[in-house]
Amino acid sequence: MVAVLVGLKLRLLRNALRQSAWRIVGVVLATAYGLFLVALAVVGMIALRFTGVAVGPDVVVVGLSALTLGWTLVPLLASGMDDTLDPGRFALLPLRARELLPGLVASSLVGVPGVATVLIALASVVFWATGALPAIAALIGAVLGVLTSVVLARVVTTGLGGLMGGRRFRDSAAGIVAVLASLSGVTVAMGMEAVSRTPNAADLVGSLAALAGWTPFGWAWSLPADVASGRWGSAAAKLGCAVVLVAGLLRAWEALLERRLTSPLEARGGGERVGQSGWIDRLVGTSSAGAVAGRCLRYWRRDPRYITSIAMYLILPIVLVVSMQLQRRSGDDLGAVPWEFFGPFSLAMLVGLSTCQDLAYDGTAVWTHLTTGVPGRADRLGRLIALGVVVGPLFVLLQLAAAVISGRWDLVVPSTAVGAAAGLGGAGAASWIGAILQSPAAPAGANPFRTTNGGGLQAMIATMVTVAASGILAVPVLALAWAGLDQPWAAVAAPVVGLGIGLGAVTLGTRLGGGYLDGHWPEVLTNVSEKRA
Amino acid sequence: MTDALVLEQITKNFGAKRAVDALSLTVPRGSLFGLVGPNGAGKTTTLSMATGLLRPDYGRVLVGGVDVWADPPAAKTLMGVLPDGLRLFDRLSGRELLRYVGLLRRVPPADIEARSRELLDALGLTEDADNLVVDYSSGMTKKIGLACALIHAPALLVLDEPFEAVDPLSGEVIRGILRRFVAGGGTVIFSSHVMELVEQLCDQLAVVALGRVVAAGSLDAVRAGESLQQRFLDLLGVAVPSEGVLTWLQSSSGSN
Repeated sequence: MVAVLVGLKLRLLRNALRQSAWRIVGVVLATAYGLFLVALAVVGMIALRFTGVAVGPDVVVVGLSALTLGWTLVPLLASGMDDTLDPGRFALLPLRARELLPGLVASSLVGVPGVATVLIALASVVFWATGALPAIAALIGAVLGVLTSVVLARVVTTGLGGLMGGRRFRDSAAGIVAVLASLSGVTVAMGMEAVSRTPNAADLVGSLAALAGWTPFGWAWSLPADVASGRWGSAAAKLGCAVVLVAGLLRAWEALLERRLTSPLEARGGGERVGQSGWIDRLVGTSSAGAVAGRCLRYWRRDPRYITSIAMYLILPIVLVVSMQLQRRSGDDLGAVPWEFFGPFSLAMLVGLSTCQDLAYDGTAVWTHLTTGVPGRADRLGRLIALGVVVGPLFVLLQLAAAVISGRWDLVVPSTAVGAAAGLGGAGAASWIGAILQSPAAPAGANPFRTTNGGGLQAMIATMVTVAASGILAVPVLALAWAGLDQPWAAVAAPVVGLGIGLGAVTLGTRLGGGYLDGHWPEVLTNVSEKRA
Repeated sequence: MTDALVLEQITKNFGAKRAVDALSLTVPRGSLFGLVGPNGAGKTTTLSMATGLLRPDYGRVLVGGVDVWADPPAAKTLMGVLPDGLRLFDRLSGRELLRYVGLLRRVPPADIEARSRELLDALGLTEDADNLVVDYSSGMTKKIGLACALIHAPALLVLDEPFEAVDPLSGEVIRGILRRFVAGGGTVIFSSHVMELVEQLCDQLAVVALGRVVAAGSLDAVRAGESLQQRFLDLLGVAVPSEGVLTWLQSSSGSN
């Protein structure tokens, strides 16, 4: 069964490569990046081994623990989980979860991240092999560590995905966001505390290694370190923890698999009625752009993928506010500008990102826009109107919070000017690039952490273009706002220029993007169709 | 009088595979036209190219004399479309979806209101009008799709598998709507696998296979005195599996 599943995965990957040039470019880039990281890690560890630097073991433990943490965090935050072998597809075969499990673990390692992790784990064995016992401990640690990485990632994405894809998530979204935000805030705060208390770098790495070694991410990886330095009690404890963790995770994955095998269909809600939401229609009017805006506003409320976007828009500024509080204590304000105002600015920088994904999120439903002959410009503009209705109040809220906390009401106007240039600028750029580059996205109701065949690279390029445009367009306004702190003419010019740049970018972006759509609608439909990816 | 829909030599390749091969077809105004063919014959690809959803590699499509690929907006105004296998904006309720399509089609809001009510009522969707389309069964999804295709009172209806997954009762309702639509001067082209349905409903049809038209014309001309099912099998030269093949399947009834 293991060989069958690994073979299946290899074959699926090869077939996907044949279908899309984007996919090939993506794999080449990922492979190059992976090789670079592996080379760096291997050379680094071997160099540390033979130079015998005192912090060597600590650095290795911290690095490998970070690797395992990354396996869990990266799919949640950025790229999603490779779902080539979706267990739901095996539902009709007479197989138990237990029979599939070993093969699925093995096939998770097929791919750039898996191979890179195995190579790095092997290099760590070389690093620890200063004696027979540490070498054996390192080998055991490496096996357990790789297993922890792969299975933990699966369990977390499958578990959370099931939670977030469901309709119930919508109503608990606010609570989950609050918990996540405060957790990340606390983590940042604790990190800052540790850094500020520890005077030199070697001690810092030492305490980080000690801390990491006692987290689930580091139990396996710190095992050889304890053995090498003769801390037998600690080594035994970690071995026990790591084994129990891997066994528990495998059991959890098996349970999740079992559920997926018996209910492979994606979640469908239970006949819930929606209100008429007449206020949305009155707000946006009955023009084509207004109709698109009205539809998008309903999606911002009803589609878990958009709700997740709102969550991200809230989390980032809050994390910034927490770390800013710590900065303030160390008396590190950025010249005359309190850190509070980075909250609204960071929101403005991110605003365009959901617009990049809009067409991908619509999926094949965009055929409605094709057959009704809606002008591309109305499509682009409608989406931005909805975005503005959602994000505008958030921006005002953060701006007011910044003013209240810092007491600097004089900064509200220049900060809003910079935010207008960055936010509207990003939205305009996203309207243009989002019209050109699309890839299929996981449909609403599916696991939001799932990646689809061949996506990713286009989304990444669109994201980079959007954020870069936000930043570049904000620079002149930032300069004016700065000068405006003591030059009255600049204080007047900043909001005018900021609004001008922002509105100019939106006009240009919707016009160029809309024009492109008018000529390329059928290609857009092909791009977002999953089967042709 | 111009024909409702004319396909001239349209061709589409997917990689090395030729899905539609220089296919030409004329749908006269006022006809109820059936497009039949086996799986993979290119029916969906053909209808996608006719409606502006898929760009042909070669060929021309005229709707009421307007070139779909030279002036898409003008041609799209004339058509109501129900594609197969594409999603709807399914986080809207049925009523909201109808209103959305109506507004994009620039139907006056008061007309949208009145027509939605009638369409939902006729298709038996009034009960579920305020439920999200994502929660509809596949038959209900077909019906709301049909309502969306009708809301702007088009001159030509292009429907891909409109009767699939639809229960017999709703099927009869849809047949009634299509007949009335044609009686009122409209034109319908739809694809189907079900020969009996096409035989009973259509006055014109075309049989396609391997991306080409094998036979086309009035119902009586195409079936040439046979049943449509028999004629279809003759045209495609289908071989029924002979005795002695798949015998192991019989073991499931008894001993194994």
